[in-house]
Amino acid sequence: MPAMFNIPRIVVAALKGGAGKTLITVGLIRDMHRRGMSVAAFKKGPDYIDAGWLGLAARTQCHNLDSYLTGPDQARQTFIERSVVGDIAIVEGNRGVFDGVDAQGSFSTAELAKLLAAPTIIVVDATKVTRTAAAFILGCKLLDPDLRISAVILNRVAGTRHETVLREAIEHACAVSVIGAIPKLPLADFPQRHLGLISLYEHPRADAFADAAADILAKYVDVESVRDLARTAPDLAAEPLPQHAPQNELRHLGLRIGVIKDSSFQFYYPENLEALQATGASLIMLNALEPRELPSLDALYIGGGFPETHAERLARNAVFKDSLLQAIRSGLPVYAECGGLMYLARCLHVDDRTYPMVGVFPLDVTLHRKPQGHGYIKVEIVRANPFYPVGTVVTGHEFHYSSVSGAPDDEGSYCCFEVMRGHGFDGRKDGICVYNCLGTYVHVHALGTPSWAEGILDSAARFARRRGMNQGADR
Amino acid sequence: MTTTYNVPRVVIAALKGGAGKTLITLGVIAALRKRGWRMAPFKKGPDYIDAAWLAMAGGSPCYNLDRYLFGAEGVRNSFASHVIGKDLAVVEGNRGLFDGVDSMGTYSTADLARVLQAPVVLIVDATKMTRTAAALVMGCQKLEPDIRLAGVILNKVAGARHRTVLTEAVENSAGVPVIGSIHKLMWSRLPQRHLGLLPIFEHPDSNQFISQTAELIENQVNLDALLEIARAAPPLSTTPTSKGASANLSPHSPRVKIGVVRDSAFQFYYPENLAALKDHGADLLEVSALADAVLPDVHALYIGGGFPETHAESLAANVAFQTALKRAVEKGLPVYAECGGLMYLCQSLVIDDKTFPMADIFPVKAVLQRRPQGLGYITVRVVRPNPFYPLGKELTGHEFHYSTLSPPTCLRCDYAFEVLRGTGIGNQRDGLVYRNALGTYTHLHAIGEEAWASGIIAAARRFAAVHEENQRSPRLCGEG
Repeated sequence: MPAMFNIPRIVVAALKGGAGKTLITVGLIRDMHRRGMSVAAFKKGPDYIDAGWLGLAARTQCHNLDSYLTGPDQARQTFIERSVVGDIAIVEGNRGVFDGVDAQGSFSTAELAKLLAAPTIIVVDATKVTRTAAAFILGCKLLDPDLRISAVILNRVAGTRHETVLREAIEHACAVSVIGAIPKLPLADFPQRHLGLISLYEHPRADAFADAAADILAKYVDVESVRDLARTAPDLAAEPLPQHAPQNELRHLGLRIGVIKDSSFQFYYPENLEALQATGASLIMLNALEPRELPSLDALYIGGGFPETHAERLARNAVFKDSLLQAIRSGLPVYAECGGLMYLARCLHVDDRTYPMVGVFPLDVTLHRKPQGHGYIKVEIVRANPFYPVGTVVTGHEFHYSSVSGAPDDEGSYCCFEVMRGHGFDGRKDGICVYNCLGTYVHVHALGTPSWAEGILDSAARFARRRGMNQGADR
Repeated sequence: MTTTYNVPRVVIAALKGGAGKTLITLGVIAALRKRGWRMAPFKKGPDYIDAAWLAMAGGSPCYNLDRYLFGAEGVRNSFASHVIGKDLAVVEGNRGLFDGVDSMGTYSTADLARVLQAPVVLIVDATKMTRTAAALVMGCQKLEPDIRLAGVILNKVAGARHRTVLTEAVENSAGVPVIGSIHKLMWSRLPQRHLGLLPIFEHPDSNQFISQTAELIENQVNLDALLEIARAAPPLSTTPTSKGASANLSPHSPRVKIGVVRDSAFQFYYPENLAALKDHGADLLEVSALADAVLPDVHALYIGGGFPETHAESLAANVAFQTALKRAVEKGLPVYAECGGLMYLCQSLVIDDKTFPMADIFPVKAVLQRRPQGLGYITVRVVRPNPFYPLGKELTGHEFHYSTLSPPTCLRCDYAFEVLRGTGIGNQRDGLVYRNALGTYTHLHAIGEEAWASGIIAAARRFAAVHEENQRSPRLCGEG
């Protein structure tokens, strides 16, 4: 029998990207946190940076909800599991509210809001528009009458006169209340410009920004009414939460999985790290910036991040790089995504400087000013590799400003992914493999690709067994 | 008597400002002109720069249509008289389609389309948006259902896939045909893109820019579909009103000579304003404050707006002209100076840390700021005697200036106008007066304010009478 969950919740959406959604959501979450509420923060779509800010604002993990990657049932399940203990759940949408993967808007923010039966707030960038904004909101109501648009927050308003005209026009034509009007703030520009661009780990004042955003929200938005709107959400029906019974066998107890997590590598979905631990393996957190040798591991996971902003320190840290290279040559399974791929290449070109990297893959990486690949990516596994069976189709996302050059099919390395959708290395190939090491631009979400964690753990177990046998032989 | 006429016409509007409306309108006008259509370009609202570009693209003057300033009848009459002999009228809207002076959208672009019974083509800036664009277009259809939203042009599209998704979504959900789409990189690849939409007078290559833009539009917009939309407009009726101009002109009044300072520093003149001066009995004489050393013998001088700031050094260097102008003002020459003209009549023009001497008629400095200091409609009441307007008269125009005057309140100055709406010079003041010279930030349109032309003509006549009297007297004495 389905259980009923009463979760006050709200989706924050916008008409297009760049409307100031993240700043507003961060402010909203932090304001509620400061009032003593326990806020469950969610980010729609595959995104590490916004999610990082939202998590920081809530002082808890932010979880991504992505029906495209995990299927709608899993997205709904994740939402319930991760918000059931909190006082309120706040979901930040992405892009325009109806923007999805096709003309029908499949997997849009609106679809997610309907899946979660969540009231939706639309953020309107009021720059250079007055009454026409009422047409925008009216159109949103007409395009999908099932979406519950509960309120509007105006952003970048040019003054009280502008605000009055916008408020009157929207409330009159659309019967939707305007619950906030945030002026064009020089103060707000700073966090706004950096949100989404750089990660909070690099930001010495990240926490102060979250507070500044909360101050802005408290000043210009009726936060009380956001809470009231959130409470109007109906009870959510869900199957009873699963007990993860089969995985609790702890069959990987004793395995040591390294994860490089420092200010250059930070892009890890919490679910991915949980999946690695779910069957008993322990995670060893490592720092590629500190001159310490790699400890003894059974596998290593290097996520994405910003190796480019730490290129010099990464390049200079020979102790860590050499020990990593040594371990890889002796067969350590390494799964490297995006920034991790860049780190394992021969060198990294940033502007006119070149930084030597670990040198596992016969690739040079060049950083560009514009994204080289951005969006969902689908690959088929076409050659043998330590992690995925041939024939598997893996769906994830990519977002990289770098490109690779060189000869991936050289020096014993080869590409084992064929790109079906997206860009990858060159629109055709991805997934370079050498020794037991795989490097890819594809970011995988563990809930969307269960074989991801299984592959790493199986490979780790094999490596541990082989090492054990070797050690036995030595003895 | 009401007459009926028809002219194919279309209003080009956008969801908000900055969507690329002017560039696309310019390209549409130039491309159709290339096909042999006799174009009648119009610009909604008070604006000199876009209008100048559209005129150049159309090879024909561009007329401003502004219901706030002219009234609906004034708009209809202006439109009717300026489409005579033309094949197609293209009206560029301003701001968002429904943005007007209040929350009801009064005097919006949609309202103008209604007055002209013209179909609307909507430009959608597709940046960072896909299917949501369909919602925005749908909302525009439904907010004022009597507006005929006949086509959509997608601007700044990111690629073929983006275009397909947008087109399908807009056509299927809103039922409006997408008649064009322009890739975001196409604009940046225009060789003359650096011209942007600067005042054309500055650029010798502006014609090249127009033909490049026309070519881009020809390739990316279905002009036949656009023409079909324009042809579907219903017939319009008009009731010609008797022109006040000829009525005021007594057949016996002698013609007067009015100088118009028109050079690359001063370019902001509505064609109707110059025409109104002629209709009232003036012969116009173009004068350059940059090149001329003497002020010709005129009975009044009109200095419009422009960009004195980009020519400050040359204007300051032409001391001879400044001296001649100052002497003429001392002698009582009526001078009507708007905005840039007002700046020129100040003691000096201050730009950053540089000071450029100006004509020194008003004892204040014009100081250029980084942001607009006054922008929008302005209404003033005439509160002090001046050479052009009777006391108590209310005047409505628009202002758009980056400069302020220093000191903001000058104790030695006369301010003829009290500002009822808008900014003007500041502290509710505008209209500096010295002898017969008036300097104001208010731009007036002759259709909206008939008193503008008649006031200047009357002042010129008075000056002519006194001046010729003076000239006659010594001669008489000599003869005696």
